[in-house]
Amino acid sequence: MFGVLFEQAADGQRYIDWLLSGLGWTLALAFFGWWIAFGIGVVVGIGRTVHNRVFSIAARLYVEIFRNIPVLVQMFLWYFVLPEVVPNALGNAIKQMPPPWASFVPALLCLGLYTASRIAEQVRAGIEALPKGQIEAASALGLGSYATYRYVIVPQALRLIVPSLTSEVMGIYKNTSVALTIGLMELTAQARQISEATFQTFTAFGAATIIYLCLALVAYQAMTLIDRAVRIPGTTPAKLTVEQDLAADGPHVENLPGAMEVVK
Amino acid sequence: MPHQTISNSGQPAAIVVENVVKRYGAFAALNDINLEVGKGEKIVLCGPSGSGKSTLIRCINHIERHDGGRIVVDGVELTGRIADINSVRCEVGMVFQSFNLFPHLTVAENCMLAPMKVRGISRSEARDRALSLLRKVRIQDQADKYPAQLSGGQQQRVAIARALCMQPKIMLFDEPTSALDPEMVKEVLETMVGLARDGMTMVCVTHEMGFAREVADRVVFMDRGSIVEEAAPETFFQAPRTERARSFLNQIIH
Repeated sequence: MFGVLFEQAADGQRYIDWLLSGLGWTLALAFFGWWIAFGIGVVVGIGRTVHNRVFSIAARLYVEIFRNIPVLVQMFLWYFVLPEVVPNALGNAIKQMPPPWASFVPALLCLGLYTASRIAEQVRAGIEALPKGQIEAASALGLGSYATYRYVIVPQALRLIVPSLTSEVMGIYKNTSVALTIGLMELTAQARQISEATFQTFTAFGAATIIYLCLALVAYQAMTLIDRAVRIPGTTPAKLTVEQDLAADGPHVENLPGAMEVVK
Repeated sequence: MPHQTISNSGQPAAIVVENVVKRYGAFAALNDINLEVGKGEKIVLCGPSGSGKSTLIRCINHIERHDGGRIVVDGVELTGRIADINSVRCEVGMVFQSFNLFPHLTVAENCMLAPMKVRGISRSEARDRALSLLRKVRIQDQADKYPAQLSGGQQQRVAIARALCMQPKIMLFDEPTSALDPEMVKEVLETMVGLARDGMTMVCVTHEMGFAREVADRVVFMDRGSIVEEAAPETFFQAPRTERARSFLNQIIH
């Protein structure tokens, strides 16, 4: 059934080479987009929890804007609208980028910034789930807010959210397919091209589907390994860490995530 | 009772609390509190649940902000705009009811973090200091374990060592044994008694009356946000002056 993939296409390559080239762009977009998303997401997520109003409002605005506009629309905004609204010289430079980059760079920015807004919310949830006593203990030791976040809060919050970050990893690589709308020849676009050239629609998209499924499994396994590697010795699996902390702290309501502080 | 920064003995007081008020909405958690703690003095704060004892020591460490009156710790005013609260907190160690160890750091790292990041001492010096204080609380062989691998009593002793690593002048204890299983209370109390013998200034919120008798210079009894009675432990336990203290003592003895 997949035999057609090994036939030669009009450009001298085999169809499977088209798919592999598409896979390459999909992986590149997902990989680099992920690091943009993770870096910005952690910073914005922290911004959502700080007392400084300027930071917290800016972080809130970021999340609301990027999370609430459909990815497809954001893709068009970066590709079609951005070159028109920036100063002419810059706009022309963007339009004159050579072919794959003219699509790749806007797609990378779009997916990176969109996923960052989702990661930011996970980071915020992770920080808010930590027992209040952690911040109090850090303050009582004289640690300032930077040191408290850097050494106490963020390392714990990131461990807590590894399971939910798994779905963000899968999200960003699945969303790479939207980049075909601005002309990036990633996996889905190549599958469509093969389907148009060979009329073997089922084979073309069947192959793409299998590749996407394999990627999902690899991502899931990788995140499971990461989860295991960063687990704190003596604690139960990550999804139970919150309960574990609570159990260790006894029946004190003050340590429940988001609970009101108890007046003693 | 005088409330100036120089105490009766002529020594500057470690802690001065003057007419302090703390409100949560309409509820007055602290209502015109006056308390002075001399250097090296050991105070036991007790009283029924909700009487404001925890709130008071949290205000002394500025984890809670007081709404009125003044608090002076180690000569530094903790009222209004504070230039550098962290420099005061370095001199005041605090031990919490729920330990609040950092679960992602080993026992030794828990003790090393603040000395390295706040005092700026080197990693090896911080580790030496951590190990010597862990030895003092008799837990040095657990230095490279994580908090979740220790018992409650061991965790609380680590928390005491962690606070001591900052070489504080004052130690505050907020019900340090209330979250422990009965058989672990003793090991923590023994550690605290040892600390008291070394001359540390201590303010302890606790209902451990044996501990109060053994080390306290004064017992301060609070009820409904006010200090109701203040006396030497023997006087307080044998002959409480107020009806409220009498009924409280009756309840905790049973």
